[in-house]
Order: sequence, then C-alpha cells, then structure tokens
Amino acid sequence: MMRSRVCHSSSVIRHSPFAGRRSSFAIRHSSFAISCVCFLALLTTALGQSYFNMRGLGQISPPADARIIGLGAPAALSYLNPGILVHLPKASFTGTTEAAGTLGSESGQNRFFGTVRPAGFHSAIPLPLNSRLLLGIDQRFNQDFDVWSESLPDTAYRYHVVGRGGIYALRAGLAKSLFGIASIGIEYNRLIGGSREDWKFELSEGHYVSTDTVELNYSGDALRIGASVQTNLFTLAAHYQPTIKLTAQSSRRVHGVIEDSINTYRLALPNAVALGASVKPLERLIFAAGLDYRPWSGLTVNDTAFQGNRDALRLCIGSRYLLGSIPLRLGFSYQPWYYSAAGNQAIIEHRLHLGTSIPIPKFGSLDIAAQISRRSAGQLTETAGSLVLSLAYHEAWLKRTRRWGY
Amino acid sequence: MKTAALTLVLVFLACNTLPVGFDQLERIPEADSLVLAPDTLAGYAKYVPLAPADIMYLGQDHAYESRVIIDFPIPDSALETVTSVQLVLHPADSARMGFVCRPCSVDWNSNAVTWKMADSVTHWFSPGGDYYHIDLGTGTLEGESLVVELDLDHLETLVRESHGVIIFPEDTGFCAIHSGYSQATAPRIRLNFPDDVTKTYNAVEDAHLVDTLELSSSYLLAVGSGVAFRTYLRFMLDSVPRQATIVRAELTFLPDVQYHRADTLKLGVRRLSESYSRYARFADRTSARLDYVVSPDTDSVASLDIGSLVQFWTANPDSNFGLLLTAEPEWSLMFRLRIPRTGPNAPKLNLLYVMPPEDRFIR
Repeated sequence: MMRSRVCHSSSVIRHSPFAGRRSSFAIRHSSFAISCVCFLALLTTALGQSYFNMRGLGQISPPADARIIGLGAPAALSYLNPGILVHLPKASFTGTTEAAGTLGSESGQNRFFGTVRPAGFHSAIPLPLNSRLLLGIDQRFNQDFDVWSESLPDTAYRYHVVGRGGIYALRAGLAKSLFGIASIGIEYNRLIGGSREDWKFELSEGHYVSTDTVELNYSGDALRIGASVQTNLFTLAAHYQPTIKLTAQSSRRVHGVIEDSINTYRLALPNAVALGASVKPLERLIFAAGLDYRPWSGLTVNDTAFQGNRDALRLCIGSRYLLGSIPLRLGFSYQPWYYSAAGNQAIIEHRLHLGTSIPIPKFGSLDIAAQISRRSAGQLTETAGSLVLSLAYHEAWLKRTRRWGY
Repeated sequence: MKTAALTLVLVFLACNTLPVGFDQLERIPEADSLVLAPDTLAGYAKYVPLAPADIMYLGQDHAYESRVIIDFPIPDSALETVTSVQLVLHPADSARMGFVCRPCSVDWNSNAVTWKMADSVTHWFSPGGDYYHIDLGTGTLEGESLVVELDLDHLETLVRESHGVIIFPEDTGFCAIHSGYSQATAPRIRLNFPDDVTKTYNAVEDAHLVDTLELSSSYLLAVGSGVAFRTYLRFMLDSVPRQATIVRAELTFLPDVQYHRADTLKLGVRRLSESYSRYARFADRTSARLDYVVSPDTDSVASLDIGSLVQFWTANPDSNFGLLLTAEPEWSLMFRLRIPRTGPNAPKLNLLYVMPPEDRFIR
C-alpha cells in the first residue's frame, strides 16, 4: 500500500475537498514546470558529470525517478526493482531529466562544469491477471568528464580531454501482483552505449594541433528479478541481478584520420543485490531505507581481475511527509564508489536528497528532486548539485476499454 | 544580487582551464624527443622567373646585376602624329639610380623570363636579354615618379620591331620600382599628340632579370633570392611512430650570411611532392616561414617550426620526399646565406612527440 501512495499520490489529491483551489495553483505551476522539462530535454549536450568518471565504468547513475531520488534513491523501492508494483491501477509513463553542476576542488584550485541531459524513461502498464508490463530506458553508468592537464614550462603543451557517454539499459519486464500484498517480477535489460574521449592537444601558443579520439562501444545483456511485500504499515522489497556479461570494443582515431588499435574487452560485472524497506508510523509520514551491494572487486576484464575496484555498499535513508497534499521528501545516502581514485584512494560520497511533487490534474504529476553531494578522494573534492524533474503521466486504459464497449 | 554574483562566480569557474582532476586519468600518453640530422641534403641555384614580384629591382654591384624588362601594347596607328613619347616609372624606395633604356629584340614571356631564358624554351642570345643597341632614353630614378623622354626617332623601332624595353642600371647599388601589380603605379608609356591629346599604355608584362657572379656548386648549401638558391633536406622519420602527435618540430641551423641588402631575410620551407631533383615539383604553399634577422654581434640560429609538415609525413610516410629551404619570396631583395653541411651549425630537426592515449581498460 505504501508504494501505491508513494507513486500515485495524485489520486489522493483528486478526492480531497481542497482539490479545486489547489488545482488552479497546480496548473499554473505545473505548466511552467512542464515547459522547463521540455526545454531541458531539448538540451542534450552533456558537459561532464564527475572528475572521477574517467576511471572504471564511470559513475553509477541513480534511478531516474525524482520521487525515489527525494527519498535517498533506494534502488529496491524504485522502478529498478521489477517486483515493486503491487498496486498499479493505471498505466504509468515517466520521463526524467537531470540538470547537474559539479564543482571540483584540488590543491586550492576550483573548476565548475554542468550537465543537462535526459535521464530516463520508464513505463508500467497493467495487464490482465494482475500482471504488469514494464518498459523503459535509462542510464546505468555515466562516463562524462572534462579535464585540462597542467601547464608546465618545459612541456609547452596541454591536454584538454573531454569524455562523453555512458552505458544505457533498454528494459522490458513482466511482473505479477500476488494476493494484493506482494509482487514478483523479472526484467530483461539490453545494455548498450558508448563513450567518446577527445584528447585535444593544445600548444602553449593556444591552438589545438590535433585531436586523438578513443571510442568504446558497449553491449551486453542482463536480467533482474525482484519482489516486494507491501502492507498499510510497511514495505519490504528486494531485487537481485546475476552477473552481467558486457562487451566493450575500443577504437582509436589518431589526428582524426588514422584508425588504430581496435580492442575487444569481455567484462563480467559481479552479481548485485538491493534491499529496501519503508515503514509508515503515521498517516502522513513514511520512513524508507535502502541498501545496494555489488562485490565490485570481482569485476573481470578478459577473465582477469580488474585491479583497483572495491566492493561497494550503498546505504540510504529517507522520509516523506505530507504537508496538506504536497509531499515533502528528505533523504541521505552514503556511497563509497566501486573504483579507486588515483593513488588507490577510496572515493567516498555523501549525498543529501530533497524532493516534492506537484500534481497535474487529469495528467499525473511533476516530481522534483534536488541533490547535493560531496565526494572526495585524496586531494580532489567534488561538490555536486543536481535538479531532477520527472514528468509522470497516468492513464486509466482499462476503464476506457470498457467505455468503448458501449 | 546574491544570485547574480553566484552565477557569475560559477560562470567564471566554468570558463577556467585549471588542471582540476587531471591526475585521475593515470593513462597519460608517453612523450619522447629526438634530434635528427638530415639523411640527404643538396643544394642548387636556379634562374627563376621573377614576374610575380610587385617590386622590381634595378641595379648592380660586385655580386649581382638586375635589369628590368617591360612590354607595352603600343598600336602601329600611334606612330603618325605623335609628338613625344614618355616612359613613366614609379620608384618604390628613395635610392638614386641612373639607367638607360633600350628596345628588346626578342619576344619573351613574363611567366618564364629569366636572366637566361626569354621564355620556357628560348634562350637569350646574350644572357640578361637581347636588345637593339639603341639608347631610347636615359634618366635617374628618384622621387615618387619619373618621366623619361624617349627618343622619337626610334619610336618605329620600339613599336614595330621590338618587344618592349630593357632598362639597364648605370650606377652601383639597387633601387626598387613598382611593377604592374598595381595599376596606379604600373610602368607606362605616354604618347603625346597635337592639341594636348595624350594616350597612356600601362605595362602588360614586366619582370626583373637577376644574375649573380657567385653561383655555387651543388655541394654547397645555400638559400638566396633573386637568383634562387635552394637547399634540399630530407629527414628519415622511421623512428617516429605513425600515430604520434608532433608537439614540436624545429628545423634549426646557423647560417653564414654571405650577401644581404636588408637586415631581415625571409626564409620559407616547401614540401616536395616528388623525388628530389632540381626540377622536382614542390607545394605552392609554404609549410613554414621565418624572418631571419641578421645580427652583426651574435650568431643567430635560424629556427623554423615545421610541426605540421612533420605530422603530415609521419601520418603519410610515403609522402616524405623532403623539403626545400628557399627565400620567401624568391623575388625579394637579393640575399644569399650559406648553410653548413656538417658540424654543430648544420641543419637538424628537434622533435618532441607524444603517443596517442589508451582506452580506460588498458592495463
């Protein structure tokens, strides 16, 4: 039950005695917000996400859902768990866009860069026999970065290295609700994506003399199974992902002309598990907690252990409070990264999550989340902020089907 | 206000290029440096057409002589009632130079005319231009323009039998004259008729013809203008990986300046597009230029940045036919410098290159 209220609070608002007054407020603000989402979605130029992204597979992307991000992003309670949907009265479509800025600090120097990018899309469609069809696309790893090398008097040149890309999942799954309190689901992920690193070579005179490009193309398959139990008082959820086989093909274009050195890597990502729980001690208050674990030290590349990885345990807690009919969300997460920074330094991230939702009558809702994170390793510290907007549309397809029968 | 200030700070931080986070890459490509000596070098002198010049030189000294040849399209109909004929020249500097003007007796072509050749196949009977031994007029170049009265008695010879005029220097030294490059200052013939009627004919072709008494053998390496001295160099780049980015490629040498009339000598590098010979074709565009300033006090090393050329060669090894060191342009005021073949002052190529980056999974 908690899940249905978390995900579909708009239905609660529609039956409220204050619905009319709130509707005009909501329409004004939501139309502005929708415009913002559309504008941000058009801006697909990714300018960089983290100064640590040039290592490993890059940063793990959180679930592309502002509601869940506002609660600390417990993956087991999000759409990433195919068994989360015990209740699904309507088909649901959600598109999410993220705008992020990162301030890097190292040895007294600061540099800022920003990102605006579509983060994901997912949908859940109710089917007969209490089953659900799950479809979507989202990013799993982000490899955006933008760094300059040091300018030394004896080198007379600098690098400007710009990385773009990531690994994305095309998702399709089936879930079934059991007895009105539980759900199980399975999801197939087709992993695709790629990254492109442009190594621009700048002379001390200030002009680029060449650009070498390193490209990686990823492909792979993954399965995910999940389950949840939801009552009026609490929710328990978990999902499990077996080992992912991923293929990465790298190619290099030197000076924009010469094709060179095409390597193929076979990556095996260790299995992963996520647990989540929420409890509702008061009518207006929900507490949630999540745990994600993947033993990343077992990552292999071409059947050889990939050095420098660490087992990663992510912990998060969050709460939601209904102020009137407006949900306010607050969360906190702690996440050591799965790979080490330079010098084998651990990357530790702390993140504060905030969120709310604006109902859009006869449509769905606009969910908003903001995050402030701080991650550090050795001398390098990042302070990142992001704004995540999810536009959710809910459609009662089954009711219409009945009307068409007249 | 605070928001605007914060925005400005963030924009400033975004625009900077500080090396924040670069250490995280840990796959910085390797750099290496090399000093290469040319594996092949040669030199030659060549009389080259100087017609593209916008400035022509007239003069002579112990080492060089330069004449000016000009053709005018004067019609036969002008002969009958003309009362006087004037040659108008526009000096480009303040040097004084006496000269004599004689009719050229052999047809010539400005695209190929040199001290030796009237066109691409015809040699002058006398190097420096064949002419009728008639003095059409004399004068002294000075000021912004000069009008020389030509002998009317030889007008028919000039119009019907000659192919323009050759101007011979009478004094020692050199002066500069504007060529037909600009219509305003082009050499011209002015025909005066009764009733103050005047017709003016601008030069249709012009060039200066340069000779030197100090043609060097092919063993000597030289670079010079007027008479073109060219030095051929070829560097073997097999030791530079094809994928390398050339950071720096400096061609350096310490020249011995043997003759110069200006303190700044313009040098250029041109890429050969076929195997070396004195007739080998080379690129129209220079790959590098250098204004070499002659310094009487110190030895000044000439250094030309040929990074883009070396980058081209490393990426296209089959195209490495070598380079030519030339005066740039070769019609500039005469100079000649000698380049040592061996020793510390000989040409060498200082290279710094960087290997391409690896992908993120390389271990």
